[in-house]
Amino acid sequence: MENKKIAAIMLLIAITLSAFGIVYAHWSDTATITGNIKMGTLTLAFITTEDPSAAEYYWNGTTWKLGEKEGKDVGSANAQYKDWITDKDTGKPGWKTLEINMTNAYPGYAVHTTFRSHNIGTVPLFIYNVTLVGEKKNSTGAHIYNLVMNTSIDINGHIAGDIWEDKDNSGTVSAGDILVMNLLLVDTEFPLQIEPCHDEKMEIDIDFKQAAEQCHKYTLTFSLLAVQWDKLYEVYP
Amino acid sequence: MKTKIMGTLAILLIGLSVAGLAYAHWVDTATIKANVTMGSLTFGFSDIIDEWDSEWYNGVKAEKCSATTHCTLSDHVTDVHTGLSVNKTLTFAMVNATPEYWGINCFSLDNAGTIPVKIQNVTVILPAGFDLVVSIPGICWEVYNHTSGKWVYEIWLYEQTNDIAEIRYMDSYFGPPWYLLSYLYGLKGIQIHPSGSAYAEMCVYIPETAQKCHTYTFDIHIDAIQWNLYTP
Repeated sequence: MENKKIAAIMLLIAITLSAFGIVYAHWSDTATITGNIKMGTLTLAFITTEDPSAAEYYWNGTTWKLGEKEGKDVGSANAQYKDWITDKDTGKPGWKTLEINMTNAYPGYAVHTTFRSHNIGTVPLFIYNVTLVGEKKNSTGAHIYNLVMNTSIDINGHIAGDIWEDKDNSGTVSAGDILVMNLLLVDTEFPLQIEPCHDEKMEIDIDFKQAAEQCHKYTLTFSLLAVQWDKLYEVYP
Repeated sequence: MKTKIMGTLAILLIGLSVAGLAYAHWVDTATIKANVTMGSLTFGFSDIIDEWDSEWYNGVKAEKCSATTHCTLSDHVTDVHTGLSVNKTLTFAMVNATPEYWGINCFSLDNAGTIPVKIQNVTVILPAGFDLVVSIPGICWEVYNHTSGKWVYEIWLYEQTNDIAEIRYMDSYFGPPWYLLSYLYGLKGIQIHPSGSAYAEMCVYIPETAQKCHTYTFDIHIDAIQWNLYTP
């Protein structure tokens, strides 16, 4: 009797398990979506296939003329690119820095430097402004003043800047500051759009005002600011 | 309550993601460095070439010489850039002068700076009580006593264009400037290159109408300007 009960219970368990198995067993399969995202690059550089050139000009009273007044060779200027880079995505090379050296400058001295900006990345960009960090040192190399700059777009669409000695160290142009140089960043117009792999010829003109001090050194670092073409509105008025 | 907290968190999350989408952008910069070394403009006198007067004749000073003309240089400055020095002041001293006496000094004008200069202005400044009359513009000035109206002395200042070695050799044979009127040029417009010199002469003539036992003083400012800003 006891053996029959045990056998009945085991049979009941077996039937119950088989019933659950039927309920939950099914075929399954999956389809996979794989996302591979390769981001673009935004890289502004100076072109490697053409050197920059610095030329002296003087104002003859009505227009700018090449050279120095009366054909003299008083000041000197040269320009070269530095800091080689390669865009990681495109593999295209470029220079990151344009260095302009001017010696024996004097009021009225003007240097026009021609260079080519190159978009070596994969995203179109806009060059939309230029900023300045600079300082004035005396003949012994001691710091005298920082330099500050005001910029605007002139009637020809170029970026025009006034460079001042920041006497009160306020970080902005204010009363009492000394105007020492003028800047003009020349192209067809600003903001300037450059497509990937394209380059654009540009010019930076610097001329010296009467208050630029003798035997002193001015060091200026201009940053050409670029932004992806579709976000210009976020940084440019 | 739990549902409300979860809802708030969800709104915050969506808000931040929207804001991120709106303000995110890529930027890049390229750098332009400019290094400027300014030149210098330092102008003055460096040399007294020679001096002579009306008491010289054929290279010999008269035995009974009474008057003397002598120049000295002072206010020494050194250009920081070039290390060259000049003097900012030339003092022309005429002592024991008599009527019809004249004295001449030949001196150098020097550019100790790094950029060319041109002489822009020559200005004669008199103390109170005297009047200046320009006799030959830029070259000759007559000085009158304001009270008496008497002509008391005359200043000549002009470029010396002769070879300087010739001046040193021939100085005492040279007559006063009014013998050479056609060949006199004022200092305005003289160009002096860096490290270069130009030469000038100054003559002071004492006329008959000058007063005894008087001392006359004057200043002459010679202004040099960078050549490219010179105004003819």
